Amino acid sequence: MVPAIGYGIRKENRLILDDPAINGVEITFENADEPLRIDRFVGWRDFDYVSLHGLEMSIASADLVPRSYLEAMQEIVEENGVVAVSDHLGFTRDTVHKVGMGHFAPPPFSLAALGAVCRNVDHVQKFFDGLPFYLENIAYMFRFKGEMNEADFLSKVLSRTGCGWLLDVTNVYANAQNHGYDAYDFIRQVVPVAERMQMHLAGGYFDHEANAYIDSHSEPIPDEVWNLYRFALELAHGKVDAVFIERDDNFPTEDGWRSEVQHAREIAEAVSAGTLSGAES
Amino acid sequence: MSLRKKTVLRDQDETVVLENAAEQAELIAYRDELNRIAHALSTANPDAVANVVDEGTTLDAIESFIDSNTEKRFQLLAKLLEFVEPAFKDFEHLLSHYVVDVPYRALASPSEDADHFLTWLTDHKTLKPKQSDYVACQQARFAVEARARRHRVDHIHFQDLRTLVEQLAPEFGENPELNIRVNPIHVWTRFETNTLLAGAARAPADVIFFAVASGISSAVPSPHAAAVIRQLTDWAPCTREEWFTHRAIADDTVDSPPAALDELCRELAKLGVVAFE
Repeated sequence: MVPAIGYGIRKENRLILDDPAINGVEITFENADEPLRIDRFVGWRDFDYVSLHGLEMSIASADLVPRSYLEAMQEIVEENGVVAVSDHLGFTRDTVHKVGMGHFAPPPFSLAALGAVCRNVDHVQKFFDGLPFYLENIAYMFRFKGEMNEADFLSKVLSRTGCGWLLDVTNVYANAQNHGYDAYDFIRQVVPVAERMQMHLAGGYFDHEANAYIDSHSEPIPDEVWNLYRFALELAHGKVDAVFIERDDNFPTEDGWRSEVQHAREIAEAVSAGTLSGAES
Repeated sequence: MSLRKKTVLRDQDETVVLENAAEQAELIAYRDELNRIAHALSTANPDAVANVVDEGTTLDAIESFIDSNTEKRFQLLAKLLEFVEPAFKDFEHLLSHYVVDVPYRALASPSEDADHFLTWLTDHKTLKPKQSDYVACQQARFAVEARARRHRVDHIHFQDLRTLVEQLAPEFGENPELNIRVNPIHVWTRFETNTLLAGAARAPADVIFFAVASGISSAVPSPHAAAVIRQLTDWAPCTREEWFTHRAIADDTVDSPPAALDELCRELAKLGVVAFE
């Protein structure tokens, strides 16, 4: 099975969303939540697969995702023919003082966090009854003290809740670079546990001053990430529902937009046809 | 495909209560710790999390996280507030002050954060009249958005009606069945100077901001037209007959010939302030 393939919708790539290589798109909820909008965010085309991607569920918080936030997401689901929902394995706010960090941080990989994450995933899955929910592994520059590593933590969440895994390939690559683990081992450990998957691909850069790979979504997808993508597709054959490329800065030309999604499709089709073997390195 | 059916505001996270006392105690401890961390990272206090990060983490990494989020917030606010910026010589300084002093409110949209900045600005600085007009103008635009968020179904319905204005406007005054509807997504503000006024309008002037399709328009109605819009806001939906009856009963209406009122109503419909159904 070839997954649905496309982009996270940005105003800069709307002009190429009719490309034949694209049959799926991802809507970022915070971008689509425009109260004055009177037409569908996703536009006129009926895609095979539309996924709604949240940024603010704060799934690792001890408190449950506000029902009102989920209801606002549900409206976007209904307006745009969304078939799947996702958010990040992280937390974004202090739920007591109601202040936000502006970005997600990873939870401590602890048993207490595991309980909280699973409760929240169950809560979200119950709300979006019938729509699959995917949890994304995030890139992080720091980790909190915990009782297990990220792959163990994520595997436990996936097996306990049955939710899907949104494998952000670039985030695994970045974390492996920055925190000294093997990206292939990470993927090899978690893929078997996931019942279903989506994938994110993006490009960042190596910041020599910080001595870290920055997942900036501002560069072409590097070869190392394409190789990991191939590897993960082979390992997860048949259970990857969709692949989305993310780009948020330093936008490419029209040809650039088209060629990158075409490349993602070619790899997926080749893996599906069994004509390409994984490029573990 | 239908558009949004419900009015939704984001609000509070829901507290979990577990039956097992030990699990509940663990949950409370986790909640307290995570919120303490989130608060420290929201308020640029990296030292407060130094004892809970793993051995490989440096303070630089935490500071970089905070700085990056602060910078992104600053850039986003600067973009949303581009219109206001020229009115202040020290705008960047004020915005920097804000993003450092006032934590980002959880679940607030960028527009809500920008609107909050304008409130903070008026609380912290004595504005010159010209600056006040810029702020009032931008606040009105944010207020239109906020109103559309609260009354989205009404917004969609009214914008549907707008597509019929060209067809129905000629019938107004002749078809007694036609109802007048006022755009539910409108707000008023007042400009104290002529800086932002165009044409013949002179300050002080009441300005109406209203949703048109997915955007925002504004107009400076004459005092008479403004009074009519306010009447219609109170009385609509109503037919022309009902409107005139209300006017006759009210003491404070300016006497206007029906034909002039019909024409004014058609003009307001053309602008997008009213529609017919």
